[in-house]
Amino acid sequence: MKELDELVKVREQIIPRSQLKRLAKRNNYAGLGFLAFHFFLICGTGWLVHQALGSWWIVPAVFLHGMILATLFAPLHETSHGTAFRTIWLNEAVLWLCALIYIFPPKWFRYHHAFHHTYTQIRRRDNAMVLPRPITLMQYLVYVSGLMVWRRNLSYLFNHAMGRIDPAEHEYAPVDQHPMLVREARVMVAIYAGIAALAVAYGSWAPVIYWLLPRIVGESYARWIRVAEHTGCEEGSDPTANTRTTLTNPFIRTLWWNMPYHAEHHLCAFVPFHALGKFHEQVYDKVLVSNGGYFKVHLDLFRRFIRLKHGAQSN
Amino acid sequence: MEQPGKWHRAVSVSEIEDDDVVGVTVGEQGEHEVAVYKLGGKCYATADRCTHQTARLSDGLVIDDFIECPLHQGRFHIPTGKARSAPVSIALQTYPTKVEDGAVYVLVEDIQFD
Ligand code: FES
Repeated sequence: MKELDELVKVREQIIPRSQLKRLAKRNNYAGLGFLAFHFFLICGTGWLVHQALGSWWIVPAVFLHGMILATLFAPLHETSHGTAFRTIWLNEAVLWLCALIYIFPPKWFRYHHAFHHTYTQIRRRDNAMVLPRPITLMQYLVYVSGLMVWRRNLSYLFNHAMGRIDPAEHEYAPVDQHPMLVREARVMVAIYAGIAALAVAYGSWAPVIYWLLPRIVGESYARWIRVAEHTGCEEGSDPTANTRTTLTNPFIRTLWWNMPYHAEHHLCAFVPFHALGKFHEQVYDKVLVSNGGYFKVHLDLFRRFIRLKHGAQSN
Repeated sequence: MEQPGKWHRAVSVSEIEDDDVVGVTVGEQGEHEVAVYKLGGKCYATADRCTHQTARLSDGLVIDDFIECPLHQGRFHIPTGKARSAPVSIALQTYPTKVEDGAVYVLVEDIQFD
């Protein structure tokens, strides 16, 4: 496979296998630590929502709680790679927990995401290509709103639960795995129906206030972060040019399980999240790095919208 | 019962680190890509190409009894070749091995070329 050969060739030029093997060592402690921090924050912002009930403070509290819930995408992503924990069952249990809260079918995501790693930034092949050029402000705003993602994920969830697999999914999900995709969607829908039934039985709005509403409004934050990973990078299979690492502060890095070191992650996805910082130290001058943080990446994109607009007017 | 195929010298035992893997080609014309492993002093061999999207497993990581694919982290059980975690679902071909004079030999069926 051409894309794969290029990835391996570039990786071998950048870092020897002996070094990668050291970086790739797995443990359970780092993942448990990050997870504890994550759930501590979720409880904290959930408590803020509770305190704000009945006042206007509920608006920022729900947004904040939603942002923290949205960062659950990070452990979901890491566990989908199987690199969050050394122990397979622990990895799978956390994958399921995060997927249930995040409302994302976990195994489906694993197949979908694997395809993205094979065909990163290859137009019409990369199934997670965010905002290919030319990008307009409108496309950017629609993407960052997260609405399209909700539409896509919910349609997969309910279609799978009804036993329907879109023909386009055959490209990345092997046919022998389709029954499993249907099963997982049915389990998820059954759990959600159970939660809804309990909420109705007890007359409780808690699932809406502490989970659904924050999840919906918080998705924008996840999308905003994800724009920085590949958007505006070169198209093609060169991992040193098609993915961007965004340097940011330790709090954001921890919250996103070191996903901001995204170029390193794509260069070698078997290096676990907790070793990406060290990996970055070894390859930072060979991959694409934005050192101005997320705002700088987005600002650069805005400059492009303006250039595009002027270009269009002058034509 | 004698297994079909022919024994081919694959690699020196000393060239494989403990709990690691190396990729070799064997066969009359080097037509078989084989990954040779050393686990707890014992040698095993499987096909070197992942059954998911053909990544080279000898670039991957040995974790306990499993080989983890470097591309999407699917895992195979080395002694049996069984697919253990998604996205892999099809088992790997395994090959019998023996160690003689400090070298690992792999039993493969030769392909007839015209
Ligand atoms: S190529 Fe091996 S898991 Fe995908």
